[in-house]
Parts: sequence; C-alpha cells; structure tokens
Amino acid sequence: MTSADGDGRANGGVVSRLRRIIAEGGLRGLASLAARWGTKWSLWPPHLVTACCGVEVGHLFGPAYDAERYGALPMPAARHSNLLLIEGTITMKMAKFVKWVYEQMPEPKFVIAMGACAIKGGVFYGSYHMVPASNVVPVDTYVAGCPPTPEALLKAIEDVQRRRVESL
Amino acid sequence: MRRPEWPFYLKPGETFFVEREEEIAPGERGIVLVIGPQHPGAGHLRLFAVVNGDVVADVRPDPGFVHRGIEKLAEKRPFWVLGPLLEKASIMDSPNIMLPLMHALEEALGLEPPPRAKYLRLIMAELTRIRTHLYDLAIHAIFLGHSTPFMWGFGLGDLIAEVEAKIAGARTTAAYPIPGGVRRDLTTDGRQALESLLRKLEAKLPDFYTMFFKNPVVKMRLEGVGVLDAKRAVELGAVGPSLRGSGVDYDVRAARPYDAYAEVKPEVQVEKAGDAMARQLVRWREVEESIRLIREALRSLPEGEIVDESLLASAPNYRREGIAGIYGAFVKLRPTRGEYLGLVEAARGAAMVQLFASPSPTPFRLRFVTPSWRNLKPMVEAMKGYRIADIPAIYMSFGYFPPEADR
Ligand code: SF4
Repeated sequence: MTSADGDGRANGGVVSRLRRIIAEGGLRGLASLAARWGTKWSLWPPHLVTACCGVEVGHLFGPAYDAERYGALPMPAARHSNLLLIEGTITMKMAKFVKWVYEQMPEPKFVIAMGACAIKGGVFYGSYHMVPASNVVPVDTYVAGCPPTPEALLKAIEDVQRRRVESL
Repeated sequence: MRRPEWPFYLKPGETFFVEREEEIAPGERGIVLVIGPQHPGAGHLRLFAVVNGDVVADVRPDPGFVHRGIEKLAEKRPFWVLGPLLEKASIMDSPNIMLPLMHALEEALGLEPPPRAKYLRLIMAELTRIRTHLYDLAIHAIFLGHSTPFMWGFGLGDLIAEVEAKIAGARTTAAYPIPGGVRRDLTTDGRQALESLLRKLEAKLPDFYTMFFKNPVVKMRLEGVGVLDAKRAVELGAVGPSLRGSGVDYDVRAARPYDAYAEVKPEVQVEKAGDAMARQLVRWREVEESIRLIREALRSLPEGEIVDESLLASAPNYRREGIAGIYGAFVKLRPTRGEYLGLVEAARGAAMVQLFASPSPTPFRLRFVTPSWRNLKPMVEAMKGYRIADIPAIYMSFGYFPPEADR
C-alpha cells in the first residue's frame, strides 16, 4: 500500500491521480474512490462491551488518545455502525449476542478482536465458558495485550483503514 | 421462578407480553422491556423490566455474560499465579481486588509483609480507588447523556494510569501485591510523579465537582431517584458507596483495619439521603479522602525491604534477578492445610476471598465474593417504582461492573 501511495505522489499529486482513476474506471471508479474514502474516516463501533478490556476502550475515546481523530466513535445502535470492537473475552452466553449484533450491522463491516482473551483465552485459557472470537465472527485484526494499550488500538484502527478499507 | 430467556422465535420489533400476566391487574397493560446486553453504556448485563406505562413494576436481572469461571480455574493453578487471575475481575481496581487473596495466602504460607510493603499497598490501593471512582462517575455521566464529565473523568484517569505504569509497571493490570510484599519499590521518580499527580488532581477536582454535582440537569436526574433506606440496604446486603450512601457507617478499612490502615486511619464517608446522588457524593468524598490518605502515607513511608525477610532468605538470587528470584522461592513453599479468609474494602465495596488450602501448590477451593455481585440485588430493588428513564441513572449509581460481578 505504501508503495502505491508513493507512486501516487510521484505521479504528480491528486489531480493526475484522479485523472488516472477516471480513465481506468470512469465515473464508477470515482464513486468507489469516494465511498472508500468516506468509509475510511467513518468507522463506527457499536456499544458492545464484552469484558474488562472495555476499560481501555474508554480511554481510547477519552481526551488523551481521542480515536475520534480517526473517525471512530461508539454508536448506540448496531445498525448505525460498521466496526465491531470485541473487547476481550467472549463467553458462551455473550457469543450469541455478538453474532446477533454483527449480523445487524450493515456492509461493509470490520471486526477488531482486542485482548489476549479474544485471541485464544489469555489468562482464562481453558475456561469452560468462553470461546475465541474467531469462532464467532470473522476477525480482521487482532490486538495483543491484557488489556492492550490505547496506542495499540489506534494502530489497529489504522490497520483496518489501510488494509481493509483501501483494498475494498 | 423460570429463568428469563430471550424469545428467539420472535423477530426484533415484535413485542411480547409478561409471562406472569396474573400479576398485572385487569385493564393494566404491561410489557417486558429487554435492556441489554448491547446498550449505550458499560453493558453486558441484561435487565428484563416489566413496565406499566412508564413505571417500572418489576426488574429481573440476567447476569452472567462475563462469567469466566475464575473460581474453577483457580483450582487448577498454583498459588503464585492466582493474583493475575483474580485481578481480572476489576482491572482498573487491581491492587484492591487482589488484596483479599494476598491476605489469605499470607496466612496460609506464614508470610508477613514488611511495613514498607504495607504502606506501598495502601498507596496503590488508594490510587486505584480514585481511578475507579472517577471511572464510575464518568460512565454514569455517559449514561445520563452528559459527555463532558466522561472526558474529564477519563482524562484524569489517564494521568493516574500513567503514574501507575511508572510505579507498578502497567497501566491497568499491574498485579502489584504479591504474597508477602509488593512487586516493585517506589523510586524517587515514581514518588515525584505521584506527588505532581496529586497536585494536578487537587487543582482539577473542584471544577469537576461544579460541572457534575452542581449541574441542574444532573441534580434533577439523580436527586430522589432510586432511594434505598438504611434498613433496606443492610437487608439486601449492599456494600461500599451504595451502603454508605444509605447512611450506614461501615467501611472495612475502619471496621477491620488491614495492612497500613491501622496507622493511616481513613475517615468513613456517609450520606443520609440514600438516592443516586448520595451514592455519587460518597464516591466524591472518598476521592478527596484517598488523596489525603496517599499524602499521609507518603509522609510516613517507612524505609526497608519490600518483601518478607524469610522469602528473601530463601531466594538468594533476589538481589541479582529482582522479583523473578522471589517467584523462584514461591515454588518451594507449600501452604498449611486450612481455611483462610481475606476481606478488604475495594473501591466498590467489600471484597472477600475464602481459601481452602491443601498442602499442594494449587488451592483445594477458592471462593471469591466481589462487591458488584453484592450490589446487584440492591440495584434491582432500587429501580422498582421509578420510571424507565431513571433506570440508567440508578444502574450506574451503584457502580455495577459486570466482569467484577460475574467473575
Ligand atoms: S485480555 Fe485481559 S483485560 Fe482483556 S478481557 Fe481478557 S482478561 Fe480482561
């Protein structure tokens, strides 16, 4: 991705890049570019707190880290959101609802699984009442840590923007 | 009573009616309102509220969304890794919520933390108490739709987190106390950071107070809402600020002093009103009290070791390897068979660990009673008779934190 960006800049900035896109894909190419750009800066996670990693998610949207700079702000309703932030453990009881919320979200949607618990179980590895996030929903990006620092989460949001949204 | 379950055969949008229709008088219309587990706030609790018009007639809680089986897992793990496991119940309050386990283990292993370690435990415990109270205030503000205190609470919480990282090594889950002491000493750097943090907090908190408690909207939403009188609070087993907000003068730190609380005496903060505002005011006073306690503990901080002498003697590598050497010494220790109890005042109330130790490194059974679990029933009772719009205001005034309650 970085090389493509570099090429774009080398080719003489925005105007020539736009010209190239119109030449290649016509108006549809232009519209898709606009849609991708819009999606990139409006990643809304629903308010679905699954476990204690939610503490650091609070800090992520607090004044010190301010993820709103990246266009991410929690939305009350699943239907208004497109980025599922799985905050730690998913228990068997919660898994049903995680899936349900995920299915309600409109396309395109992305999933960040946060914390050691969501990856494989972390400190609760072997517990009788939990499932790894990847068994419940398709995960795009994992964030390691227990809990991950807000910096790591910002990095994950950037990662979704770069790897997933730009390549849509 | 049948366990409430979401009726999966229904599609979202369709309403369904109370199963116990006989309890609703003829002509009255009641519907069950399902709140959660996905809702704007610190979620993962489901409430089934039977509403009659706008008034809440009955609430049935459905906890267990974060039940991770801490007690069962503890039966399979050696005692020296139990701390980080129990700490996950309430990660922003980690030193407090771990302390009962440490007390029980110390009794079982025959260890005694040196005075300096006791003071350091107190300092960290009070620091995270401030953080947890600010967290609860911030989330309560979000529940009320008032986002400025959220920003302030988390902004100040971030400063505390950074100081925690400097002293204990991690922002939230530092696992600071260990059986027989603490993990790290307070360095000059850490001490300076702590002192400047306290100055910053003292400068900022009055503004926070004006913005939250003097705010007419907050006053109207919280005053006279969710009233729980002293008798009822005791009957239902409320703990912590929820109990003291109802006018009961009970604080484990004062009633049964542990660690350094015998020397650095806390003043118990009590409010008479018993409503949501009173519970938050108790939290607020405790923040101020905690700042005073940290100051006092810093002034009289004794010199010396931070882990028990006998542990040091059996860990010759301590000077070279630091705390890892201590863990090497734990491996050789075995608890005495018996039943041990640890009881401390965590930020949200009394936390208890009952440890049934056997002479093997893994405990035979561990019982962990957390404050949020104790506050669930009072919270639900306090909601009855108020309006739907009051549910969020009452919910968070109890500081209910589901991972802590479900364990
Ligand atoms: S990764 Fe750690 S902080 Fe996150 S949910 Fe699991 S135990 Fe809690």
